[in-house]
Amino acid sequence: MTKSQFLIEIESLLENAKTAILATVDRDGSPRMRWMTPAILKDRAGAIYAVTSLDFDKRRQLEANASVQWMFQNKGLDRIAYADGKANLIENASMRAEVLEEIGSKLGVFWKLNSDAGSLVVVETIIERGRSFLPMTGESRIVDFN
Amino acid sequence: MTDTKQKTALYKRMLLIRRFEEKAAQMYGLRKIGGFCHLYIGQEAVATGAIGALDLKRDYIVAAYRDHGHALASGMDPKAVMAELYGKVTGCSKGKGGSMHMFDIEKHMFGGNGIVGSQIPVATGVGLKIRYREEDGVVLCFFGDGAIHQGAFHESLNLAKIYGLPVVYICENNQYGMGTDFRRVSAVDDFSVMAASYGIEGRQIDGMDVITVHENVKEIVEKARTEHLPSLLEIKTYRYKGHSMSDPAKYRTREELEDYKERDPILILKKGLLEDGVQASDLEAWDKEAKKLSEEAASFAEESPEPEIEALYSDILA
Ligand SMILES: Cc1ncc(C[n+]2csc(CCOP(=O)(O)OP(=O)(O)O)c2C)c(N)n1
Repeated sequence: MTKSQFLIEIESLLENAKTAILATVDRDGSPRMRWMTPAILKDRAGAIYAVTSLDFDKRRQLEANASVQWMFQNKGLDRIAYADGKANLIENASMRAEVLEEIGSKLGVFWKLNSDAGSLVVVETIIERGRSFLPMTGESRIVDFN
Repeated sequence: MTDTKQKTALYKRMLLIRRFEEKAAQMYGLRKIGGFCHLYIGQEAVATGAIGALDLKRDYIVAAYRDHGHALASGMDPKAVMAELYGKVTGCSKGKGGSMHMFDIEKHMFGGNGIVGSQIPVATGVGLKIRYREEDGVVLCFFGDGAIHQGAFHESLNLAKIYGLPVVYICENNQYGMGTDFRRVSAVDDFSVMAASYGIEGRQIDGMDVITVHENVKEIVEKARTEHLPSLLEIKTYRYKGHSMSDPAKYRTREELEDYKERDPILILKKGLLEDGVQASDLEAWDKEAKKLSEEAASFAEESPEPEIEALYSDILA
C-alpha cells in the first residue's frame, strides 16, 4: 500500500462515517479516547486535521504527550484504518479558517459542547504509520510515512 | 503616517470581522447557515486596511466570493450580513445571495461574486462609468490568486490603461486556490510584475500588516483619483505553509508553533497599539464589543423571517 492509497482510504472512510476516534495518552499514562470530526486537506498530504477547544482536556494531554492513534471505520464495520502519529496544536488564524471551511458544516456536536467560537485550535496529526485492516478477511496492509 | 486614532479604528474593524467570522463558522456548524460559507479569518488586514483608505461617498468596492470581510469593512451592518448568511429576508440581498453575494448600494459595495474572476471586468466597467460621468471616484477590485491567470484580468488591465480608469486591482494572495499552491500554476512568483505588461504601477505588499496595507492603498488611490492611473497590488497574506507529496509533513518544534501563533494580523497590530501606550483594558473592551455585535447579528438573523415563497419570482430580470 502506498501513502496516497492510505490517504484515499481514510478520505473514503470519512466520507462514509464522518467521524473517527482519536486516542491520546494522559499525563499518568492512561489511554483516553473520543469521537472527532477530522479531515484530510488537499495539498497537505501526510496529515490529518481536526479542531478542538483550548479549554478541552485533549490540549493538556497532547502538550504532555504528542503520540496519538486515530481509528477510522465505515458504517458497515468491514473496513478499518489506523493512523499512528504525533499531533501538533496549531493556533494560527488562517489555518483555523482553512480547516473550518473543510469540516465546518459537520461540527454540530463540537459547537454544542463549546460555545466560545474564539477558543478554537487546530489539531494536526503527522502520520508516521498507517494500517488498513479488513476484519472479514483478516487482510492487513501497512504503510510507513517516515 | 497613521496615528493611534486611525490605528484604533482599523483594529476595531479587524476585530469585528474576526469575531463575526468565528460566529459565522459556529452557526455554519450548527446548520443555521446553509450552502457555502467562505471565511476571511487571517486576511482581515487586507480588506480593512484597503477599504479604510476610501471615501465611500464617491469610491466603490467590488469583491470576490470570500466577501464577508469586505462587506463589514465597507461599514455594512453586521446584522444584514449575518441575516444574508442565514438566508433571511432581512439579509442585504434579501436572503437570496448567501455568503458570496454581500451587496449594499449605499455603501458602494458592489458584491460579492461567485464566479472566480468575474468581478474584474465588472470593476473595470465601474471605472469606465466614473470616467464617462467625469466623477472623481476610485474602484478597489479584490480577487484571489486563483483569478489572476484568467483572460478577463489581462483584458481589464489593458483597457484600464488605455481608457485611464481609476481602478486599483488588488490580488489577495493567500497562496492557495482550492488547495492548489499558487506556485504550481503560476509562471511568476511575484504577481506585481504583471503590471509592467500594461504599463501601470505594480506593488507587492505585506498583507499581514494592516498599516502597511492602509498606507500603500491610500497613496495609490490618490494617484488613481487625481491622475486616472490604474494599478495592480499583490497583497500577500500568510497561510501556514503547506506541504506537498515531495515535502513530507513533519512534527513541529515548539518555536515553529509559537511563530505560527504570532502570524496573525490582529496580534501584530495589538502589539503596535500597546507600544503606542494603549491600555490593555481598552483592547479587551473593544474585543467584548466586537463579540457583542456578532452575537447580536446572529440573534437578529435567527429571529428574522424567512422570505415569502412568492419572493422566488421577484427580482428576476430575465
Ligand atoms: C470560473 C470559476 N471556476 C471555478 C470555480 C470554482 N472555484 C471556487 S473557489 C476557487 C478557488 C479560488 O481561489 P482564489 O481565487 O485564490 O481564492 P481564495 O479561495 O484563495 O480566496 C475555484 C476554482 C468558480 N467558482 N468559478
